[in-house]
Amino acid sequence: MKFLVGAVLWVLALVAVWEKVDIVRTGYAIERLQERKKQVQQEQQFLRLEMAKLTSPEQIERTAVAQLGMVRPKYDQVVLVKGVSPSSPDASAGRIVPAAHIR
Amino acid sequence: MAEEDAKRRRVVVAAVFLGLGFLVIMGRLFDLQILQADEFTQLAGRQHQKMLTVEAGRGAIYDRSGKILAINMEVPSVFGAPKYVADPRSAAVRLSRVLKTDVRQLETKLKSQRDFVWLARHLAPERAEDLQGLSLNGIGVIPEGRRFYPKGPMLSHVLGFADIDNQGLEGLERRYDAQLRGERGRLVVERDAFGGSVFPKGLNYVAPSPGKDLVLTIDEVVQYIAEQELDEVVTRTRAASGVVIVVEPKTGAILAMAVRPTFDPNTPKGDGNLWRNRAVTDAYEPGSTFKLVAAAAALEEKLVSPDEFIYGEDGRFLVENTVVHDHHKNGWMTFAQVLQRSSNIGMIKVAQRLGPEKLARFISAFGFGQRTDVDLSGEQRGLTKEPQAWGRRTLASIAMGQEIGVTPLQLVMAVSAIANDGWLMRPYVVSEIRASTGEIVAQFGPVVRRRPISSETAKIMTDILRGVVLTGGTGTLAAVPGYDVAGKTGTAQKVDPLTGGYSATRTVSSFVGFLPADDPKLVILVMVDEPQTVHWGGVVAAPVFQRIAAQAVRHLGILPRTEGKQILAAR
Repeated sequence: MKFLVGAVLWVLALVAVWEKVDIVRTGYAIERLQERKKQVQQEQQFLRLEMAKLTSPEQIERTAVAQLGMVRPKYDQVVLVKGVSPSSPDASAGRIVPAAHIR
Repeated sequence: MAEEDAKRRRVVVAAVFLGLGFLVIMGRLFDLQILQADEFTQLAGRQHQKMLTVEAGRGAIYDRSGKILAINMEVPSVFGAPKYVADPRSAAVRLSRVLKTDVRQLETKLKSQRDFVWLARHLAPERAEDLQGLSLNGIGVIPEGRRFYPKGPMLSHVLGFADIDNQGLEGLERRYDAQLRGERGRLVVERDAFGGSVFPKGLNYVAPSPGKDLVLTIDEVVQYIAEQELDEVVTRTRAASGVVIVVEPKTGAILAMAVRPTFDPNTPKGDGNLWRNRAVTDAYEPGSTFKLVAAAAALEEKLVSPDEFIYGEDGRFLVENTVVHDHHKNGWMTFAQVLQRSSNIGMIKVAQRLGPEKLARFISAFGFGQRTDVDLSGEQRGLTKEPQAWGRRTLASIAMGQEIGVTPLQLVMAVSAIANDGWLMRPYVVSEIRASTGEIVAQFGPVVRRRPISSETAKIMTDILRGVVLTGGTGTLAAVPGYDVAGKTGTAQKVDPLTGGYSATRTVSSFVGFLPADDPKLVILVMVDEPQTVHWGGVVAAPVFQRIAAQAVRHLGILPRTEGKQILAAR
């Protein structure tokens, strides 16, 4: 009987210690993941900034003109037309569709 | 017997001493455990816990279609704890290689008596890796939020900028600092034997509340067009400064606001002069563009009709002992032609019918002499005088746009009222404030301030102003193919500080107008201050208006007037 009680207490103690260790270990894991999350967030922020820089009208125009050899369309090369969405039941409620090139 | 007594005495003495000893210990225990308990708990906490401040990110600023105009990013900053730096000299040498800063400066900082010194703040994000390799005692790297303006100088005067400590100093950054800033959070974590943090136990976390985002009425593309064209004219004419404002007349939403000279908010060094948003902080004598006010007033009061003939005195007219000239020698002309040719004499005659009180009333009704209440910092009222304080020539001067100071924004809003069926709107730049979760916290829309003129007067004015851009008018260079444009030129002579009179060479050349005239979608003001090569508003500013308008209508999908058949396209 005494032996049994002793064994149970021993096991309980082990479980308690193991749990404690596990908590600490999980704590470290959480910490690592937090760190990783932060890194990824920072990376994402950095990419958003890069995207904002690269999609600025100035940058687009520079790339279009300098690298792709594009030119600005002249007045008579752009025709604005009243667009009508085919799925729209009310045809008069047309949308305006900007910029279509004609040659 | 005596022996027993002595024994007992010894026991009693021992017991008393022991008891006293216990009492002292109990007292000390009481002191430590109960009286000073809090203090010691904290002390212990400090040893195995650490507190981290969690910076709240400053809110971002977006244009109307969600393009980023300002954003915060965490970048590394390097600090030193001089107490723990064993060899400041060699640490400084190694640091200077990575930080690319002066060795001596670093060394002085590391030798200082302070607990904490900044060595370099807001480094480029890619530098963080170089720093990790250093691992010097007493030198640390922490992330700090830094403001980035990805579009560089674009819209700088409206955006303003925030300083290194996340405080808005100019423009919207200043005006909306409380919303953009957010609140710092705190996090208490357990410390392990190496000083690293173990996360969960006794988690004590006060989350930072991130700053809110601003969504503007500004259209990035229209802004770009405005900035480019303004740049071109300011450079070509070697002007001192310039302003372009594009407004939606029906709402008062500002689509673009460009100011020269400009600066890059990423590196706002130097001159406060460059940071000033002249569109709201500076008052100019508007010159002929201001003739619109007296003209609208006279029409509203039915003191004149567009077809009425007015004699132009062949270009010379005596007002209170001063001769007023017109650019062209006009004879008889209709009131509409007075505006189309921008005749000073014709306008003075009409203003004389109005008289000072009525003219002053309309000046105020159109919003001059008061703030427009736009959500930008540093707005001025302009310079107006009560009619009682007017001199004998003031009425004539004001009719021509002299002896009065108006901000470019006031002028563009007054013209917007003509374009908007007579309703004067409140201009605004911020349309939404959003929480970081995307939830809309506040929304701003069109606000009517008042109605200075009737719909009928607004229509007549629009018709007259269309003539300004047609053959015979002063603003023909503002004509946009396919669109009906209404507008007015202005060439205001500036007061020469030396002579006190008007200078012939220093002018403010401007054009303000709107299109399409029958259903106005855009009001555009172009103002060029002290152009050196040519001076006439019709020559300097009108072509800039034309180029901005032509590109903006394309971008915004504003249809040209329909001549005959309509083209329909399915999409």
